[in-house]
Amino acid sequence: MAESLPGLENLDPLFQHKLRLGACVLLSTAKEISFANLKRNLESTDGNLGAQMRKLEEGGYVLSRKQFVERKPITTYSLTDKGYTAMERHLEALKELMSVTHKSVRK
Amino acid sequence: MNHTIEENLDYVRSAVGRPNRPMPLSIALTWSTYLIVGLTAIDLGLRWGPWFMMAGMPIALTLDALFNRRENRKKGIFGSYEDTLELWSNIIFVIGYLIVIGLSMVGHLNWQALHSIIALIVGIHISNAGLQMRRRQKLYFNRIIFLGLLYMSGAIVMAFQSRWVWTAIAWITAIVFLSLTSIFTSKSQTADG
Repeated sequence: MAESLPGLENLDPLFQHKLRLGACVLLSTAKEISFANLKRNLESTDGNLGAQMRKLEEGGYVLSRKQFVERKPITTYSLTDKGYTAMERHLEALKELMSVTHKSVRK
Repeated sequence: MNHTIEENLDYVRSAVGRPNRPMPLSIALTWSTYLIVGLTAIDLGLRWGPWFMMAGMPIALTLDALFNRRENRKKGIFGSYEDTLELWSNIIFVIGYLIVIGLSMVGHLNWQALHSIIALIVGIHISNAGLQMRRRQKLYFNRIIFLGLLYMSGAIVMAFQSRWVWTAIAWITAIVFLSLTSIFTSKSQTADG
């Protein structure tokens, strides 16, 4: 099956959760984004997003940093080079996979 | 499986497209003040009116970038790549602007240079409108930004030729529209798969 669907083997298991994929895509638009901003845009909860971000951190895809903005402590995340490359490869694989399945549906 | 992938992509698309950054009030106030003071002064025939419009533009662009940066920091976005793009666009605007003003000053401020400046201002406003709309993540507004930039290039070219100024603008606009339509249509088709 994997042989008949190009791109399938390039799908990254870390991005198979939509929250993790969404977080990385958002992080690719800026150098750093706060946890609160990610939570708002991804419409997630503290617990769920925290757990998913930890997995991305463990995989070396994102880095977290604590800093003060206007005297308030915030946690920010940034996408690592490894994370960016993995995300691009995953999105490329998705595109490839979808184009193949769309073609087969048309047939 | 394809269904799940599409669902996930829809989720990501909506997360990225979520209205995150409406225009900060400080930016709206900067541009409103610039337009109200400058245009009223021109209408009242005050001599400093045109100079206010010319000198105010780079100042307003700088303030725009600074306010936007501050607003983003408050919202937890640091070093947004969109803002970097906007900053570079503003720098290009200012350089283009200074070139036209310089040209008009060296070769005396005649009607031709004045028309170039008007076209340049139109270009800046078009590009700025494109940037503001793109803040709402409607990425196809990119073409408006490029239309503005090309309009400004046209304005600089106009500073070198003396006749058929408005015809030149019409041609530049037509060429820009035609070329952008073909370039962006093919790109968006590929992107959508």
